[in-house]
Amino acid sequence: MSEDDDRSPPLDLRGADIAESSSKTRNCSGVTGFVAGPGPSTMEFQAPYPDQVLENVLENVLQFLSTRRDRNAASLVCKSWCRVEALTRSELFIGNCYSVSPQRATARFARVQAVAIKGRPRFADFNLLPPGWGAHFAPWVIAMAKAYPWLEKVYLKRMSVSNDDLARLAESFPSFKELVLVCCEGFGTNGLAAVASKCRLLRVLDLIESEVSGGELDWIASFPESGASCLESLIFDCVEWPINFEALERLVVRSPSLKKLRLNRFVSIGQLYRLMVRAPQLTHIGTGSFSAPEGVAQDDPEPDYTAAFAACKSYANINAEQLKSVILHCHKLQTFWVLDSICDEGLQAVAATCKDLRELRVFPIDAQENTEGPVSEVGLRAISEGCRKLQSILYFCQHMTNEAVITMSNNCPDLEVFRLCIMGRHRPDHVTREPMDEGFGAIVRNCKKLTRLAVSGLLTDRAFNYIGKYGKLVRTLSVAFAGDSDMGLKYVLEGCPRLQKLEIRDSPFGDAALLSGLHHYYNMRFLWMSSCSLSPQGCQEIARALPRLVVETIKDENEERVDDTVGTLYMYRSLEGPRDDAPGFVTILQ
Amino acid sequence: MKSVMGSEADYRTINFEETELRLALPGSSGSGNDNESVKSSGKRGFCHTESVDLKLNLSTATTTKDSKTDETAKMKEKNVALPSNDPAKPPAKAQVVGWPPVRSFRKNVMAVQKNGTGENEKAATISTTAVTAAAYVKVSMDGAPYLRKVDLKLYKSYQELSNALGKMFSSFTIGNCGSQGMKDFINESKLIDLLSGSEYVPTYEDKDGDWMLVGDVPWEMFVNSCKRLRIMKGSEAIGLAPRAVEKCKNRS
Repeated sequence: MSEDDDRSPPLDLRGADIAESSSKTRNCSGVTGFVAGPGPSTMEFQAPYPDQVLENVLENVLQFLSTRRDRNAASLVCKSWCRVEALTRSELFIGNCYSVSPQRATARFARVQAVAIKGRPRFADFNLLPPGWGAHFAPWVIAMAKAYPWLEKVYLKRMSVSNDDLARLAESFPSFKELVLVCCEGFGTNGLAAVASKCRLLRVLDLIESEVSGGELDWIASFPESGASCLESLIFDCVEWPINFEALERLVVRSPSLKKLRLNRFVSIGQLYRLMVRAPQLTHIGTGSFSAPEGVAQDDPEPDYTAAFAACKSYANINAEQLKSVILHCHKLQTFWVLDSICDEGLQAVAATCKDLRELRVFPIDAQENTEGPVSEVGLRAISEGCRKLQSILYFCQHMTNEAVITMSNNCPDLEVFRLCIMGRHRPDHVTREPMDEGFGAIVRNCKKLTRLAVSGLLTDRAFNYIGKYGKLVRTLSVAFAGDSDMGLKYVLEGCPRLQKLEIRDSPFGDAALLSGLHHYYNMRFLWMSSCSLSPQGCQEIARALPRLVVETIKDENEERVDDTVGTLYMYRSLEGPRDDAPGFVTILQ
Repeated sequence: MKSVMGSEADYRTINFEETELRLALPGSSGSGNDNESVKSSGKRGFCHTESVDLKLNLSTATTTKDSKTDETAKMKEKNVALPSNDPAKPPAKAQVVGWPPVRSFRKNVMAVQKNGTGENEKAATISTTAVTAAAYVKVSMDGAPYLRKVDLKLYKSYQELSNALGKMFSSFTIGNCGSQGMKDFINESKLIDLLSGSEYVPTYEDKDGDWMLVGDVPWEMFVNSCKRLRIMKGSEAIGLAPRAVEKCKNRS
């Protein structure tokens, strides 16, 4: 649970990853099935021809399959289909960089143009994983440089990327067009300079919530100075270094296709205004450097100028009044990320106007556990009443009521993502003093499309019983400071057949609960359990029972553990066995 | 014991709150180095003749920029949830690292926004240096069964750190660090005066692995070289002073 940047990357990342198999009885080796081979000996002389035709036909047909879920399904039909699918897959998605090696992936998929790779587990974002855990981009870029010289797009999330990696990328792929780095680290402005200067066809350079170190090279000035640039999107609001504004202005002027521009806080309002005047074609603009009451809305996809200016992802500290003056124009608003400084009143204004709202994220200005907060069940209820088409919500608050959550479950049947973070740990419904079980129960029961859920507040095993019973489509579940006993986790592992990503912290689940999921772990991308009640023996048992699972226990150097429990368990299926780049604080059980 | 919670970036934007924590100390195990591995067995040798009721009232001075809040800004520290506070739940581990689950990047952004750094170049430069990784170091006090963690980047001076530590371990006094800073300890005779009682002395382990007296080096240097803090019983710290002074001389 948490706030998470879930914006969809250039590729289709929904659906299963390549290493996933849908049947519980299959092992992880990927392909089973019969081979459509030659028939009886009398037909032998004809045998190659039908195969060849079949493959040609298949290749043409499979071109039309775009989603990886469809492609994975096709690849499981038979060896021939697997082969052809592999030849025609142009977008490769690796949900866990350690589930498969670069060599194996590039050997199977020969004609890939776009790659997406995810690395670190998500709780690393909240300092629950010591630095240096892994997820290095280097072996991937080296392998891809050999295998995919025509590579055009790279999307990385939570990977360690170095300047050398970026330099290699820039040098190895002459057709390179799109680089998106989300929550990555390990590189600096020198690496960006390499990409800017060498990737002449670059259309997209998006740095989202990544940690970028400094360097002596001026990366903005490294973009080629002459000729038009192909740039369509340039996002660097996370770069905590000043930039060369004159060079940026020149770049914007010679980028007629530039639509999205998100600047960092070293660009002033005046400079921003200058850019907007020079580049009227911009549809998405953002900056982190002002405190004026500009909105924080992202309009989707209205090119209206007023809306475009309001379309910033900057987290300006605005209050309800300031918001109201802007929001009442935003009838078409679909995606809205905002700070809770707008209060319940601001949310009511949103609910009154934005009837088409699909995604809402309310972040806390003050991310601490307090007794009072600016947003509460009042805002949630208002949103549920006004924004009936809501699909995704992330809501931070200090306390909540079951009633409001139940109301939302009834009003917003299209909800696919429900992430409620009651910042006070173990906090019950503040009106009835009961646990928040019923609220979350209603969400899983009434929101039939729910695939992602994050729970919080005081929760007993009953909440998990509901999740196991009704959350049949849930793929991602985040749990923190919740549950009473092993039963809680058991309910979930036994009840949610689609569960792929499970992250749990500080909950009283032990070995017995862990063992109850043996039947399911090969179907999951990962399981994270930190500060629970697991023992090394329990984790060892899992490792022994499931040889294709990599079971890592991580010792947090920050921790002073007096007993024998495991600090953090992170386990994931893999075709490669234990990785060889694990740092000292990681123990891989076998 | 897990880390304390706090915004990781700009100390000026920390919104503080008062928290009260009571710990009953059964006593120490004797040697300070055993602090980390002390098990809460309840049976321990007593250094002091009576158990110390350590009431930690956590607060620090108001920060200069945070003028919005009326109350004095206080350092927010989260610790073990004790049975007396919440009988319904077993004591949770002191785990507030990463809670609430807001990414540090986002906290930094919002911290900057709260400060209203805006177009001011100077402020931007200051914010640049402020928005760096936190410098959490463990703090142990001889006799306490729990360690603490502090983010050294939150403080601008030894004075502030001293105040915070003093509040954190209220039976711990740094003597007259109040007005003159900790440099007084370089004066060995004064040190011995202070140490002859059972005064506590703040020491730290530096990058080289040596144990030093806090206060010898300029604050910035200290923040960059301090790996952990240990509040030693005075009697054990006597030997440090000469070495510490030597080292300082070698450095400058």
